[in-house]
Amino acid sequence: MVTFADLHEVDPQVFRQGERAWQTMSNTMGERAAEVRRVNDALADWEGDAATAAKATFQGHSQKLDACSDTLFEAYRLWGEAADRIGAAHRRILDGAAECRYWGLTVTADGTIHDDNARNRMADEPVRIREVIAKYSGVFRDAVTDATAADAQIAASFRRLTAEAVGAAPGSDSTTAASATVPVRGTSPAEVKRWWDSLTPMEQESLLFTRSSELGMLDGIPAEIRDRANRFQLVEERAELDAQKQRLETLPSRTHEQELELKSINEKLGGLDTIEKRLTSPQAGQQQAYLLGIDSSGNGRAIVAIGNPDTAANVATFVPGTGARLGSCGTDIGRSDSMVKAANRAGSPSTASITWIGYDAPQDLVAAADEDYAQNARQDLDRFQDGLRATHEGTPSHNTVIGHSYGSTVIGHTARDMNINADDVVFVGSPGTGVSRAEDLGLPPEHVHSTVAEHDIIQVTNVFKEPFDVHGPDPAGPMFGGSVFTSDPGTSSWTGYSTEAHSQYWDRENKALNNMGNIIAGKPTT
Amino acid sequence: MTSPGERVHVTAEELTAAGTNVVEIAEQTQRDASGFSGTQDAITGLVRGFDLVAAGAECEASWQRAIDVTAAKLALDGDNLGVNAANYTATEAQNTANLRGTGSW
Repeated sequence: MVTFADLHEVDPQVFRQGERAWQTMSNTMGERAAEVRRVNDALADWEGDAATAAKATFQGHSQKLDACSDTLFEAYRLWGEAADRIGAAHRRILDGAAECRYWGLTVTADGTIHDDNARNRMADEPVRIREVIAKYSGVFRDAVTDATAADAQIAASFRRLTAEAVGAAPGSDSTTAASATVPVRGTSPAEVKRWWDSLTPMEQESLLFTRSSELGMLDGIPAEIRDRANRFQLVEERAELDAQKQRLETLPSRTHEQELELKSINEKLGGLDTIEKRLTSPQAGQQQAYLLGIDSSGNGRAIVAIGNPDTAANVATFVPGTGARLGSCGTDIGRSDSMVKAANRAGSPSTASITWIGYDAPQDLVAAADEDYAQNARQDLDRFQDGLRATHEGTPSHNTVIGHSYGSTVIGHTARDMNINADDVVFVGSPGTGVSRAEDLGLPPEHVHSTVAEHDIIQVTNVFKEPFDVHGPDPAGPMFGGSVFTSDPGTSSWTGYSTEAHSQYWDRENKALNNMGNIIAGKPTT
Repeated sequence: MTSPGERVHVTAEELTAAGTNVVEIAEQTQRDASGFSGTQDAITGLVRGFDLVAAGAECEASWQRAIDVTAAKLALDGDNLGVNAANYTATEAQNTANLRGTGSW
């Protein structure tokens, strides 16, 4: 119920603002629909089943945008109606109040008219005053009644025009029951896969758009679906980071902590750029990349597959070590590219290599002495490997897990404690794997492969003996019992060791890279 | 979206360009939706006592969500068009130089 005070105070021009905004939005959506149609028209010469499907999809989008434009136009008219009807009632009140003032009458906040000058009036005036009061009391009452009616009718019309009411709300073209049962993270991948397969295509498609953040990180969801979900998520992550960046950049001054936060945001945005570029603009000869996970919180996580792990005959999971994070993922993704190439050279009929920054990695060498990072990563890595099995199509793939530096510690702990789902494990430049012997990893020792470069500085961490050797002995050492393969010696220094040698295993001509390709392809090493 | 036996009378570059176009339209649509949201807040702050203002806000929020999702779907389909236009099959050449950075170890 609109009160006299509400109607008196309202500025009807405000409703015109709404009218203009909705008209603009209606026109804009119409323009977007036309733009999509023009893209479709440009594909007129593309023929065949896929072309028909694609054109139908885009036609559907343009129709939705057109329908959206039409509904927004209806809402635009409602704002105009509000401005007209409530504006008219408001003017009647203002005019009446002015007339009352002319007669020396007072109009109170609730619309009551008082004659405060009754004692001073001429003999015949009170009759006229009573008529004026009666007239404008009626005018005010009618104006409020009209405004209340207009308000109620227009409000009801707005409610009939919501996206939900007209059937255009997100997910309204699917069953909500399916949406409500998305398995939580941690559900076994086999169970997730069974659930996914039980959905209709429409339910799957709907969930992809409405629950992409959950699907994108859910092991047991097919790689192509995760990729689509995470590409959507990547846009969300970028928007979130951009907003944080803008907030910090517009501060009049920044604290040291805020400067560090801004630096971290910029680095993460750089990581997203790298991933997006690799996804959308593969270089000539590079395999298609799939985004299997993305999260910018904390140090940031990224899981990027080079090649489709659900269809490849040989699948490698590469776990990077200290310093791994979203902002610096480019080098690690490049290493997966290199391993795909090496495996294909070794005779692999089809290969996928996944850079798995799916854990909170230590960010410096002091932190890398702590085994908690590896302990905390075990369940996620174990479940990810199970997920690869659950979603793989056809003959089971040959799966290899490759850890570099602290990444090898992560794999060691996972194999030791979780019975990791892999055919071969590879430790490269390892500070230790959490076990003293290969046989403690739950795989046949001949499927446990290790290498360390002659000049790799990591060797320094393995000169200590228990209890000072936190992560256990070098798996490439003589007592470990696995299979050792050769690497190039790497860059030396006056100490005999260098940090460069620790990062040269993926250099194009390095024997280690060829050997990793052999292992991924299921071939012997040298 | 291309498949064996497809009669493609457009080039992969044209499909990629079309996909990119669609993604740009989608991104612009999302920006349109973001710009739309401020109007209602201004109206709500200036008017009291009218149900239609709250109903208008509700209507606007619902359409903003719907447009956001439509734009997201559009972006994904545009992206898929571009991705599928590119050659999915593995090839030998590789260029990792552009991905090199500090890296982890």
